[in-house]
Amino acid sequence: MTVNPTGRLRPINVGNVVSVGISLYRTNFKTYSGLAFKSLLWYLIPIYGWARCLMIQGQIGRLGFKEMVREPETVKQAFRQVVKRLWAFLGIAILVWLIQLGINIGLSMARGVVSIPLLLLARLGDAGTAISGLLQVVLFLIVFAVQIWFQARFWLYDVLLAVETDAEATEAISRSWKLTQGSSFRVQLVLLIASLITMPLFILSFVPFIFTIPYFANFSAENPDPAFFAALGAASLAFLFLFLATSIITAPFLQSVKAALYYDCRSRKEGLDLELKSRPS
Amino acid sequence: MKLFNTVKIQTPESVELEFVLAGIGSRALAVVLDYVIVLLTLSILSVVASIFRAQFVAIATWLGGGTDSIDLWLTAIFAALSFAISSGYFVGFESLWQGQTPGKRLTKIRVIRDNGQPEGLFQATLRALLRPIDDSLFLGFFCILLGPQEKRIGDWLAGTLVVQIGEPESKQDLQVSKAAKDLSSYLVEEADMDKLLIDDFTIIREYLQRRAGLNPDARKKLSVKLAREVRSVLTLKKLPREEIPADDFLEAVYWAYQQQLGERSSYR
Repeated sequence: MTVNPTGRLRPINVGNVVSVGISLYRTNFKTYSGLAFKSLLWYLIPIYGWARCLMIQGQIGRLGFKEMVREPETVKQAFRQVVKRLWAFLGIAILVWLIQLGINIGLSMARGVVSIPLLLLARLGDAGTAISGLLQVVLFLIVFAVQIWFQARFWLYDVLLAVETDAEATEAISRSWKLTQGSSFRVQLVLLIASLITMPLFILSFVPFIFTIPYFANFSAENPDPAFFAALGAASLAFLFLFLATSIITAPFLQSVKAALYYDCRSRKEGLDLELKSRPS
Repeated sequence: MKLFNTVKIQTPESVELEFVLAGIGSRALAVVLDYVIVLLTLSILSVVASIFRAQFVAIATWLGGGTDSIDLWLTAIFAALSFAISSGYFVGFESLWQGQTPGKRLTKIRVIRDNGQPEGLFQATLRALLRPIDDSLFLGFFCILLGPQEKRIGDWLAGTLVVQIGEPESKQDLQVSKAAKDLSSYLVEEADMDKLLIDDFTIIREYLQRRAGLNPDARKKLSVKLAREVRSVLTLKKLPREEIPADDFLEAVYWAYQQQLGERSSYR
């Protein structure tokens, strides 16, 4: 199988990274979703709460990773490790956000420059317009691909912050970059599958609005029906509730997937799974 | 904890087989790949259809038929063809390729029957016919996610399982350097090779196979760590030279163990 003699998992394919994330979450559902609920509550408080919120997300990733290397921790043990660098979670998140902002600004400037000849091309008659339009689409796709390429390379930073507590906080960014070297496409596929799996839940949270459709059919602007507004209000409330519930349920899933991916990158790039069985001495 | 769901199947010869279930990740990726292929095929079909439609209508009018009825016929043929492609794709591939579609092949999973036999035409057809039901309201998705055997409705009815294909262990021979081979003969004489377990050997071999993909720094650290551990396992006090690269040492141990294994099996 895919397991080494010591019980640690060998490098796995992208589909299995997501499946492992799911089973991590499934076995620890109460713990992880409880933590996610706490992190959502912290999020309501500015600045300090945001740091706590991000820290708890990192904590979930740490718990998942520790379970994969067969050194499971309790929530408290993990908390003692991550709370030491509470502010780093916010600081590094802002730093990564700024880096990505810089990259995106650079990309859109480059796109603007490349667009100029395309706009001129569009003036050369119908064929020119068609080709220019096509090239614009290609350009858009290239820019998008570069953006998610960068996103994939930085994706692991919060789990890194939570797990590698001995390293400098700022190293988390360069470590994420190094660990995903040459596997950016794999990370993107993982992101794609993970978001596909969470999609049904988010789509289902829109279901309450279906019940307002009959009211739309009878709607008249001159004589608005109070029942219409009541229904719309109720549906919006139900949607908000479902949406928040979905966010609480899906956030730990993404963190578990990230933990599995982090483990996989480390076993690929650093041979984390390769260790001799310890002997009774 | 178990990271993968498994299922045990008893064959009529009462041999127990264990399969690792495919998992939602691989199944989602496989179905996305398959749907992309089907959609591309369908869009090519509709482009071709729209090109030929005008010609067909022209021919029919020339032959004296009514434009309306030929239009209806063409629409009907197009609908039938689309259905044939979207269902036939899954039925055809799964029954011809032993339970695999191109998407499943890429993600290394396949469909088998509940009793472990390969999927047949009947099962493939049932699964394909129930696919639209599974897709509506993500029923199949939730069934796979929550069910112990990861079955969607189509799987329940057809009596099938989707499992991972065990990856064959790579048989490729490792390159062992001359220096390591020389060292290995020293090891066979001086070291207690019997203390090395097959599990240790597996790890060493795996390291040697995968070392090219490791980060240089991590590789150096790991090789030194493994070499130290192996050396203490072998109770090897002295080395022929003071400075032996960790990689050479591990290659030598691999080689020595391999040679011994070969000798042992030839005694039998």
